[in-house]
Amino acid sequence: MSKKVLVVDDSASMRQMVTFTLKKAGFDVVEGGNGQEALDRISAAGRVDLIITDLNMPVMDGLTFIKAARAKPGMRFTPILMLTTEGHENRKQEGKAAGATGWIVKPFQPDQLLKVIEKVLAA
Amino acid sequence: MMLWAIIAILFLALGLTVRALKVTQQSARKLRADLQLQTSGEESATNQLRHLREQMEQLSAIDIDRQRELTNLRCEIDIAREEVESSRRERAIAAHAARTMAGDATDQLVIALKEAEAGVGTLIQSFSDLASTSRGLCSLATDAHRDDDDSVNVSTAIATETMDRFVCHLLATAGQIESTSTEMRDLVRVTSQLAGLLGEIEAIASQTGLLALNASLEAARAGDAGLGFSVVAAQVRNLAERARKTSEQTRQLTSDVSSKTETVSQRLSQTAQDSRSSGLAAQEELGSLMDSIRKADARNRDACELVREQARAVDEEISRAIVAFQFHDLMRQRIEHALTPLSRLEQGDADAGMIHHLPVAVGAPPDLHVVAYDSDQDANVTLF
Repeated sequence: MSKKVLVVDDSASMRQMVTFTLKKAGFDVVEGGNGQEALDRISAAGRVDLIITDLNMPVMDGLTFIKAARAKPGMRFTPILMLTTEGHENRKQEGKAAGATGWIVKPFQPDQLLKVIEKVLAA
Repeated sequence: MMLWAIIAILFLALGLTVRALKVTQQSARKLRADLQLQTSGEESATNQLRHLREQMEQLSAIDIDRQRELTNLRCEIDIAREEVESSRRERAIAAHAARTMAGDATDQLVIALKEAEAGVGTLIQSFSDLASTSRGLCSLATDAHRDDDDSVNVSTAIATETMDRFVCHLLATAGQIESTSTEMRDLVRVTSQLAGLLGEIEAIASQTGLLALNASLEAARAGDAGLGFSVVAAQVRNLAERARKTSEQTRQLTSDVSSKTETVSQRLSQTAQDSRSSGLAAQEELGSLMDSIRKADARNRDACELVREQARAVDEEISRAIVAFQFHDLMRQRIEHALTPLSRLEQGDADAGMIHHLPVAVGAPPDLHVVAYDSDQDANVTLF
């Protein structure tokens, strides 16, 4: 059974690129355009094995989303990767404090993203 | 600003003049009171009063000048006020124009963003389709020819070996047929010898017939005593005749057998020759066919490897394209950052002065990292 990954980004093209990379590697992908949509997707899907989320999004930003997702039952140890254009150390620490598992600065490289996913899923 | 400075100076001058007038009037009232107290007729007081009157006249003259200046100042102030009002109207018009331009710019940027997003989406979809096709081809190529798949070589080797065995068997059979043909030709020679023997038998039968005839003549000459012998001689003659006829029939049969045996022998020989030729030709053709199959297999293998290489190259190019497309996201964020103050300006949140403070309102662009494709991959990843 393939792993289910939730991709959250307000840019449809970014979601497309991440989804393309993941599907090519055999993952099952669901998408959300912001934090609130992502929470709805989690509720609908029942289970996700990994979340990849942007930081700056309308309606609900990435950090708020991570905190809300962590509060959901069964989501405490689900790997959550931030995929954002911001790379300041203080922002990373904010992500860590919110519950992120890792931080990837855009632009990502497909092979690199898949390696990181493999690593966090194996942990 | 100069206008405001002029107005301020005029107001200051006006204030000073009014103050001077007030002081002068107070002094006059005081002196008038003193004059009334000293109406006792002191000369000095009269002189002083006269002097004061002169001063009053002078002051009145000054006051008239001041009044004239004040009037002039009021005119200038009115003019300045009109200029200020005009300037304010112009600035309001400029602010309105700026808001309109900001609105237009915002609309254009939003449209450009949407179009760029749609364009990038279409391109990514195209790349996705291309990648799917490429993966499909690669999969087909892999299924068609696995690296460790040697089935064609094995099959051709088996086919060649089987064909070699068959041809060997065919050649052996042809040899046996040829041998049989030779033996049949020997049989024809034996038959010819038998024909010679039949000639001898016929000669014997002929001699026996003559002897029987002579015996019959001798028996007739012997009279009654030779009657029995005459019967025997007749039987012998009959036997000789039958032997001759039998010999003739045997010669005919032998000739037929010889002829047919010769025909069969020739046919067997021809069959053996044909079998040998056909077997060797088939072997040669099969060898050529197997060579063609092996060459086709090699070409197929090369083509499959080429397809796999092309598929890998397409994958790499698509990875590069994905990285390149992400710069669109950076551009989008920068434009969205610029859109915020433009939207505020469009909504009239800022007055005309906002134009001067726009750079401050826009602020510094977000700290967006731009990473080259071939940079160190791990540099952009932080795992907590």
